[in-house]
Amino acid sequence: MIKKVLLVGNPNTGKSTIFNALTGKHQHTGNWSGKTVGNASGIMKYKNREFEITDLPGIYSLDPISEDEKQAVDCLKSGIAHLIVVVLDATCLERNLILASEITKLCTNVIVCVNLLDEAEKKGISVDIDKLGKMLKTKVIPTKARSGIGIRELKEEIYSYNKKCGCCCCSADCIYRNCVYSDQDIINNKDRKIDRILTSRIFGIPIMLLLLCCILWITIWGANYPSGILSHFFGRIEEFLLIYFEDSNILIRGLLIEGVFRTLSWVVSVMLPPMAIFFPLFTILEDLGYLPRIAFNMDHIFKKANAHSKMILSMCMGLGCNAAGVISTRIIESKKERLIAIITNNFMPCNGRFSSLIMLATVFISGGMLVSVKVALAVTAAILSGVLITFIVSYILSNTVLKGEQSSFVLELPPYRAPQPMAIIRRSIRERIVYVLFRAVAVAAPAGAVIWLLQNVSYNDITLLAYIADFLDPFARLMGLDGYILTAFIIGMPANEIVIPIVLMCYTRSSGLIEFNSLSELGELLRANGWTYITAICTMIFSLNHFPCATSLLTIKKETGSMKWTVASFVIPTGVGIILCIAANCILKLL
Amino acid sequence: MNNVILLTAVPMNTAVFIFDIKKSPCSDRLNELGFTKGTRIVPLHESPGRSAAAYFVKGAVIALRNTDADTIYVSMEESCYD
Ligand SMILES: Nc1nc2c(ncn2[C@@H]2O[C@H](COP(=O)(O)OP(=O)(O)OP(=O)(O)O)[C@@H](O)[C@H]2O)c(=O)[nH]1
Ligand SMILES: [Mg+2]
Repeated sequence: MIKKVLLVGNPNTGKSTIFNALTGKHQHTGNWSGKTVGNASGIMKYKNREFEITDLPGIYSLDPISEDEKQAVDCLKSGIAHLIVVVLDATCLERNLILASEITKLCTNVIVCVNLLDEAEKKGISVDIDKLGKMLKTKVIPTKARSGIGIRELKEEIYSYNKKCGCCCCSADCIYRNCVYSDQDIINNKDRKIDRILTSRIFGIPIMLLLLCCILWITIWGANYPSGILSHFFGRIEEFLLIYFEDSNILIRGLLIEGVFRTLSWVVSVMLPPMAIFFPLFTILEDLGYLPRIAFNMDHIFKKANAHSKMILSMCMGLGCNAAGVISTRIIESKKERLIAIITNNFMPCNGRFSSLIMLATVFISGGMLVSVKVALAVTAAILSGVLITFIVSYILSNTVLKGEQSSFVLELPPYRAPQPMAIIRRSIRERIVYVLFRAVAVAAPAGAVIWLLQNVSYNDITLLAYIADFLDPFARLMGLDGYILTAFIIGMPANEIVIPIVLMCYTRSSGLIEFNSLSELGELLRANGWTYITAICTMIFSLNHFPCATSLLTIKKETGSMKWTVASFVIPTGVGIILCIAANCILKLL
Repeated sequence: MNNVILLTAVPMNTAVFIFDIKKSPCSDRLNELGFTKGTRIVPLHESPGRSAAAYFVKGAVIALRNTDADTIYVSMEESCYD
């Protein structure tokens, strides 16, 4: 029988890093407590034997409080494990040992892994591994998981583990005092100095905004060139395909080339570059340990909305993907606050919508040299308005239907850690580029086929697309959009990154090849179809505030287990979007 | 009982010792994070809006909202606890 091994420990001690090193998998790691919120398993092969390793969310004790901790403790207490590996943070043994001694008292099949020893050395903390083993009455393996040191020894120990040791009878405090020698300066070390700047009264919030703006600027500036190149590339291929299939069936030419292929090329050339650039930049902040500081900096604002500041962490995750953001709300202890976080997560634009915002802003902001700076400012404003709306909706919910006890904020501020560029690049390629390409095939291609069919199947000489768009048009006009845009939002529900490509598809129906050198050239196309800056602003507003994509909705259903709240998560953002669009349209027209 | 004050009243960078923790919705969380009677605790810095502060506790830095920190009573001297 295959042996089961569990990795448990306090949050942010490197469990997922060790899991990846043992199994060769790519479980997400990040420098903050609560990165992993569900169990993940993988197979470790060592000397012709296989072991099933399970990475658990971090826990502080065996009495779970939040949802992610419940999962971990349930798994631990279910008794399925042949071996439990307790992962400890060497820089924080005083607290980590509480859990370790609790587990060694409860279970006999335990080995302990003291990780992050490289950081401990730097901080002037030394650990007597032998003595620790004797006092805990278990085998103790020292590791530096990030650089792979100690992993082989850990594998060997998992492989050869058979005997049960005696029971540990010392208190955590006693073990700590006997095995750990620390002369670290807690007040003036590097982390505190950085914290005094990044969370300072004067600079804390301005630095945060500046960082956001800078990241957006790099994304926008950097995405322009690859977009142009990719567009040329796809243009050439389309040209070639059209010649090659010149005499073939209309279905091949139309459906496959003008429908499927063209939508694919829009998604890849317009949407992919900003996603592929933003993601690694954001991961750098995550690995640095900046995300909990954002929550710390914004605490007073969220306190006023009576919301949990851990919500900010799930909002940050939402910037990458709203479905991931919704799952990450598991770290929020109170059920009501978690519901608020789930419902409002969609106000944070995910990567796909984010690229739409950038594209729309680029198209309608002209201004020579500083154009990418202006676009960055516009998109920053869009994201801040998302934060503001989150704040207002949370305030309303927490004072009406989701009224609860006073919310709290208890969050660990991890040490700053240098990001690893190569690991981030590898992860971005795997998770953004490959993922988006895969989704392009799975979602954008069928959507392209649907759009082409709607454009080419007609009834009474009017195409189906025109019927739908005409039907939606009066309402869409009221919102400052047009029928095609609203149709695109509806057809784009499976994935947000296909909305703008669908709009473009609707407009370029019979115009043959579409190629552009830079994003601003797309503006010509949109203006030719009646777009004004009001249309662009309203489309941006609706892009920011509308129903979650299909994946997010399914995730919300799964996480809340309630149809009512899933519907609420659909209706609330859509309602806000419609109201804001109508308001913006009326006001801007009056100006 | 002399010298017992609220945690939020302690000046930054001053080590104090936890005397007692009032029962509250987050007291279980505080307890497992190492906020237990007798534990040494050092306030490190305040959040920009002064609504929360970071504390050094048992090797980790924990941010606490002031309303939560106000459930913690501390004393300046380490004394005997049961
Ligand atoms: N310097 C150093 N950093 C490490 C080491 N092991 C892990 N890290 C870093 O520590 C951070 C946390 O690692 P994770 O593996 O995500 O921690 P985790 O225990 O899974 O955390 P949760 O899922 O939140 O419970 C990441 O930024 C890692 O890169 C190590 O041995 N040395
Ligand atoms: Mg993890």
